Amino acid sequence: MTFRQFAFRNVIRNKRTYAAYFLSSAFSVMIFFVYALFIFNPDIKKGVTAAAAIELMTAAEVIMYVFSFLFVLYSVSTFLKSRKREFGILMMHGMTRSQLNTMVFLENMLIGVAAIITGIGAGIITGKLFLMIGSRMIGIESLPFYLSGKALGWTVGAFLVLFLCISIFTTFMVRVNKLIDLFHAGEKPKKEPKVSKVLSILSALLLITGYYLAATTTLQTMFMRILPVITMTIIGTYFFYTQLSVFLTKLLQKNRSLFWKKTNIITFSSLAYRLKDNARMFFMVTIVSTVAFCAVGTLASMNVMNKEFQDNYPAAVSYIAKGEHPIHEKNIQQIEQELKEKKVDYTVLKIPIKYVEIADSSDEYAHAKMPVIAFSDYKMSSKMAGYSFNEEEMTGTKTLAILTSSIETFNSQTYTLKQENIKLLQNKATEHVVFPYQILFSEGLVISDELYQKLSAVSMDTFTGFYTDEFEKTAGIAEHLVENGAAFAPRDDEAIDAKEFAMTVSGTLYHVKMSMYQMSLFVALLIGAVFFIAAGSFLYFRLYADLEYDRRLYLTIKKVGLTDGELNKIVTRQLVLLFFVPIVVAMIHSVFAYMALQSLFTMSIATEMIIVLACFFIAQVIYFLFIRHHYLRNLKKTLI
Amino acid sequence: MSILTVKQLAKIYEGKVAHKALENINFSVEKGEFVGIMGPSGSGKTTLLNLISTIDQPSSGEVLINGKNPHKLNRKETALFRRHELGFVFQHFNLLDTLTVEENIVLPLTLDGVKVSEMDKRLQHVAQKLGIDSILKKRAYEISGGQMQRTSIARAIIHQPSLILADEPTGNLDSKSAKDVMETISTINKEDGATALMVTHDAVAASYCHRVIFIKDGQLYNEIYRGDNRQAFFQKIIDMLALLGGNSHDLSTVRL
Repeated sequence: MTFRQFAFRNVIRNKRTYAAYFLSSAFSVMIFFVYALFIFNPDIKKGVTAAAAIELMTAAEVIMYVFSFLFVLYSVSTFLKSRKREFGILMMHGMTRSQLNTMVFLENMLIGVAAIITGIGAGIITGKLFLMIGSRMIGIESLPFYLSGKALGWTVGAFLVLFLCISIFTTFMVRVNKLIDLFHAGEKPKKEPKVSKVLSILSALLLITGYYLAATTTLQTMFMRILPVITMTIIGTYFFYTQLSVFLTKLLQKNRSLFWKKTNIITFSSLAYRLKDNARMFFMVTIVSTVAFCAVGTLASMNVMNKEFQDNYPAAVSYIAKGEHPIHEKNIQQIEQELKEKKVDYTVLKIPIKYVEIADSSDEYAHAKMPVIAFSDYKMSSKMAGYSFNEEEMTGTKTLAILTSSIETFNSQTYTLKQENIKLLQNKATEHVVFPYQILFSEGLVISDELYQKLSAVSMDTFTGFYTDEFEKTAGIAEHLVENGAAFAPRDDEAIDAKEFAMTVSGTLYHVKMSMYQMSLFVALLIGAVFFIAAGSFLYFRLYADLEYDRRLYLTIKKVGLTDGELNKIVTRQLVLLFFVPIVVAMIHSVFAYMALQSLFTMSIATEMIIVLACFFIAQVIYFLFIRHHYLRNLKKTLI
Repeated sequence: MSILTVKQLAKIYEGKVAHKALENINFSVEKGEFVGIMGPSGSGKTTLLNLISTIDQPSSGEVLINGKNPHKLNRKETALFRRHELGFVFQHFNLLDTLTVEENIVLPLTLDGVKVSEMDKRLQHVAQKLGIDSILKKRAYEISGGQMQRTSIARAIIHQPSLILADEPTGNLDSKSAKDVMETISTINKEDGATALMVTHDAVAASYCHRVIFIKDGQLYNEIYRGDNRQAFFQKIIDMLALLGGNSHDLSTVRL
């Protein structure tokens, strides 16, 4: 046995300890590689969505790389901690410091290189599948599998550097202060876990405040609150595990009728120790899982945004003609012709828009000219879009602000017109979107029909709406007029834009939005999976590090007289604790994050969020059952 | 020629209340000698062994092994010193679970970068001597306690150290295995002329030594030499322990 063989055997014969860490690293490498396959695929560089896709995936690569770095660093440092006694034995036999470093370095590199090879191998095998799913989601034709040297080079290079850095880094982490400490590590009796009342209360306060702020967030306060809430939750969670939870178990232990009942005595007595020992691991798993839940949840919530789509675009094709120009007739004719070619049933509504001059306004950002439309036109447009209409008929100088997007909000304003100093009061907005925001760039008003007749316009625009029930069919209409489904309105005092018209095509917009959404979901799901699996790997490692200790504990209890069923019960309870405490806490965190997220939407996102959490929960249950089976089998192997 | 010389050795554990674990210890061990150290619990036996084995630093005084003071060496030299001059046998065996029996035995040579052929040769030699050649391919956790202790003895002697240090080598063994192990150490001592220092609670184990040093409350109390008769020596040890007034459970090993 040479020295190198020795280092290799240390890893290979300990495969059970390293299994989860290895698989999780390999999985990260695989996902990284699959993204690289996308990014460097020569056929992908067509179309706007693909460009966005590449950007998104590059961002995903960076996030994953940073995360992998932290993950590997944390894992390796926990491995080292659990091997103190082994290092002590080796040092006793005359292992020098540099030999110890070399050994740790070799071991890390072995796992690292194996993970890279496995990850890339798995990536090549499943690459075609991912390319198919990915291109379907982005909405481009299926990409041919192309193993680019760049993708391979980047993945191998990046992870080789990662493992190399960490291997070098960890050699500094093996701190050997005194051999006698190393040697007796693990043999020392565990100290009674101490808790501070102040920190326990602080933790509870931080969590409650954080939750309260998150739950009451509105669109306006969101950006101000987001950072403090995250900070509070993270600190609160840390103290929750290190202080509050131990404090609570100690309170439970005081209740003898509960504590001294059957197997409770074993469960509870080790609970406080277990919580304290695993506090940092619990904390990591909670935070990592929360990030995964929130990332996937946020993207899943965008599905609701798509449901809101029809509320934002009443007409399938909206066209605003600026002033009089022969080009308008040509454009409209062409739209009609294309709609007919696609066999879309449609109805047309034309709404005249008057621009009136404003003399004074309570809104300091008000433009000199303001678009106004008649109430009856608004009513007509809503009806043709299929909305139920029950707003009151308007009279006098009361006005409604034109809603251009369902998430818009308005403050009350007054406007004084140049014409006869008419004062208009706007105290609420229309119930439905009148024009999409892309074609109307300034505030506008809906006014009563009689007032509309009376007002004289500085300039006139005409809105032409094509209404249909099957708006998805309009995808690709008038492609030379719009870019990705929208041609933005030139602001009237902004002469730079030469366009005479503004228009939106719902079908194309929807298509672009959907594919962006699906692609983000695709990317987020994979990243979520990477995070989730990493969290699982922390749990797994913790379990196997404690296996030896548990085995001795259970052997002792068994000698006192414990049936198999009771043993199963105790072990299951402990595992449930280990697996579900962090996940449940992460879920509670996520629910409050979702509550804050809800303020961005008008429709409820509850269904989507429940589905996301349920999926993660089911995955965790499956993982739990799998580990429980193996763990029990492993434990019983040595118990008689 | 003395292999080990201990001069004026003292160890004080600092803390809220400083505790004198050892003071003014002087003795020496000649080449080829087999010496036992006994004493009641808390008398400082293990501390003494830790100081000699360089695991712990003395507060004052010096330890000379082969004329060298290992506490004056730097870290690397200390490591090399342990590797070449010392062999350890522990109560809890301290074998590495990930390695097979033979791999555990050759570990000191592996660390030294000895050629594989040379390692094999020495392995066969010690394995035969200790009667463990049939279990060489097994993993460390698959063998019995007595076999584990013989494996760890093999590991302690394979590099022919100047001094073998044993900390309660029979503490975790049944009486049959304990007898085997003690006879093995005794044989190695006799045939190869290996020098050994052993800390023990077990009067039977101690009776294999040439000389037993007794410690009480951190100070040397007495020493007795073995004559020709091991049985008589055993009786003397028992009497001495009774005189020392340790608790009754110190007199015999707890056998599991």
